[in-house]
Amino acid sequence: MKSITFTNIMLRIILTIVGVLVVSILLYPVVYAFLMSIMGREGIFLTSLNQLATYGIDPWRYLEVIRDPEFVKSLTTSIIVALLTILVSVLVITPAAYGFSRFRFWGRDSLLYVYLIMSQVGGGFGIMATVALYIFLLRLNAMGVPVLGNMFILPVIYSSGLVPFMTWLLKTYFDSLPKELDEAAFMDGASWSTIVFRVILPASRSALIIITLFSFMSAWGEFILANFLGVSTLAQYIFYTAFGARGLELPARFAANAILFAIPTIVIYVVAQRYIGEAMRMGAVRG
Amino acid sequence: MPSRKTRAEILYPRRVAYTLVLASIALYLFFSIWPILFSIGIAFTDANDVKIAPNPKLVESINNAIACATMLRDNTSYMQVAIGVVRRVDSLLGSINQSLADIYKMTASGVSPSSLEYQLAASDLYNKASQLPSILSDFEKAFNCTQLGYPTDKTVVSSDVESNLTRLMELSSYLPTLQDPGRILNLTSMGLSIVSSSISYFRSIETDYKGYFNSVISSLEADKSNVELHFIGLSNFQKLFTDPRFIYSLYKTLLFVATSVPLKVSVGVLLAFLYSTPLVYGRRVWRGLLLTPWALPLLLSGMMWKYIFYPSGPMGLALHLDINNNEWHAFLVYNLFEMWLAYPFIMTVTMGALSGVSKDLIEASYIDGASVWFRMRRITLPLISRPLVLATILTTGASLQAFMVPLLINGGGPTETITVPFLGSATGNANEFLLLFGYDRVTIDKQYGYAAATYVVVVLIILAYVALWFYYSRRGGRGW
Repeated sequence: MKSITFTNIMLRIILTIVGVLVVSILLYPVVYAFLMSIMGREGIFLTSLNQLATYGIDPWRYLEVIRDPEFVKSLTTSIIVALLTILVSVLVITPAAYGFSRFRFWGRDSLLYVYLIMSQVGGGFGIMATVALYIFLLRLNAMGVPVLGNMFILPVIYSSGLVPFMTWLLKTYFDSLPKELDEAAFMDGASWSTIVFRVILPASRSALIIITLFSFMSAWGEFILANFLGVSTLAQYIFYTAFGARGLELPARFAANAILFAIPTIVIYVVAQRYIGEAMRMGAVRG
Repeated sequence: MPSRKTRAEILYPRRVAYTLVLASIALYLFFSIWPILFSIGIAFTDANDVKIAPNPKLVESINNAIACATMLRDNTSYMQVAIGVVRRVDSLLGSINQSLADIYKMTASGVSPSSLEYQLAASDLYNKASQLPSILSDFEKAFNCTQLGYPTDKTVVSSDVESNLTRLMELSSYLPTLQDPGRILNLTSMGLSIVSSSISYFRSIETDYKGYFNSVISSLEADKSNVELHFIGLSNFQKLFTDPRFIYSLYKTLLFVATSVPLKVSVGVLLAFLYSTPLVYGRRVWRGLLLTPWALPLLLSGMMWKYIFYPSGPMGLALHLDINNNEWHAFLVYNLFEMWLAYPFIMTVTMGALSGVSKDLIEASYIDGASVWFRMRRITLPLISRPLVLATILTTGASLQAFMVPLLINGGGPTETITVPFLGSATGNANEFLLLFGYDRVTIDKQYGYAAATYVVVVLIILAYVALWFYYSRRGGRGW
């Protein structure tokens, strides 16, 4: 560093002011969301800070939202769907990733290659795949499989979407675990399911946490398919109502809804940055 | 090496491997791969909300009606009965026609509705018309396919016939009670037109019985083809490339790439430079805060951007933006929103590259008295350009596939007349980017075959883009 001169100090002050200004401009939508959600009057858009003084502040709106039966119902659905997604992903993907890691079998390498490509393609393909899936599900529904409005189909579909990415993630983890671990268990006469779920999985705790977090996030935030199928998860509820006429009638109410909806995502982002960073280091990032 | 192989096979037998991976592969194939293949197939069909899942009951009902009409056409004994009924209807209608004409003439020449003459004629008409129900039931017996043993909700005779005859009955029970000559004239002339159209309809059955049923069968076949899925070859693709909405969507998407990519890359790079200078106090905190768009779910950010830029929202009012009616205002908001969503990525990548610029090099350049500009051009830029180009390529892909941004801000609106040179015009959403175009064809039009064809083309466009960047990144490996 050079010596501190007058110009240097001036430059520092100016740049810091600019920096703070830029941050506040870029974070304006977030602050706006919060202020809107506690504004005293429900039916209008917040357009100036004076309105906060005029109409007062109403933090109890959050309590109202939590007591709203529609919110509670869709929240329950969301939680069930997310938990089931975690369960199905762990139960189905873990053994498979273990299989890919330890075993050599016909089709292994090409499958891994397909998974790699599919886990790297971006969100646009995801939307198109969702629309394709919807067309397929309509046909399935007509054939007598109750798909539309069935919330138990969602976890299975979400887990299916997680297969390529998660298999790679877990496989990489298992690769780094010493083979001696499972070989010893095998010699002791343990069955394969015991080895996978009792020996390997506990030994790869952070992998388990990652799979849980990703499964939760994908189930929690997804709303296009849920909306297609008419399953009212919290995300679908917000998308369907808040982005329609009702959202414009009660913007403050739905801002509160959306903030409550965002809390788990934000918490996971903050708490799990370490794990997500780990996942990214393993080169398994989505575009 | 036999010994090693044996060891691996004993410890990790294939049979176990297949049991371990089978469930996940089945899950993935059934819910991810197969739907995609299925929908590619659908792209070559005329699937819509009816045809995607033909209602078996409806198809059976139409099939029965066709069988019924065929039997009525070909079975001579049925034909005799049917023609007999038609003749009876015909002759009854003929005499009703006569009575109506009499009443009309009478009233027109000034005979009072309360006169005996009128009353007689009206009751004569009423008597004739009261025979209609029994004829109608005969008619139903002869032509109602369900009663003939072909359960169906389709009719092989015009469904107007029944309602016409019923109206005729009502009308003739009215006439004796009416006093106003004008109303009488009105009603009788209405009755006359019903009778004449009915007569000509029945005559057509009578004179060309086979021809009548042939036309019934062909119209039923058309009904059937409206509910059944058909392979239509490349028609969807042909329609797509002559659809002004799609061409406009392609144009808008490319325009969005051209505007949003420079915007978000330059904002991201500027932010990275600003918050990398040691001259800004507390820059670690600011950097952390700047990553907020990453931490928020899209629904919340989308909602806020929509509210802020809504015509009655704060920025909408301040900047006089009308995203509901002005396509370019909406387009501007998309660009800003996309920039906001993507700058953390560009900023992080650039900062990562900047932190790689060695301090020694910078200090050396200070000592050499290099200008800021020189330092930038010769030291900083070469170091950050390669990761930045890669990030730009990725974020270009994101703009090309923009979907959530228009969907959440205003659903890709406003709806207006879209005119494309050489292709004409159509009504559609002015900001339907490629992916949203297919989505809207599913959600709004319910044209599944067309939507699938759209996505086949979009995938090809994206693949072309991916291939292009693969090609350039290989070739440009030496120096960006």
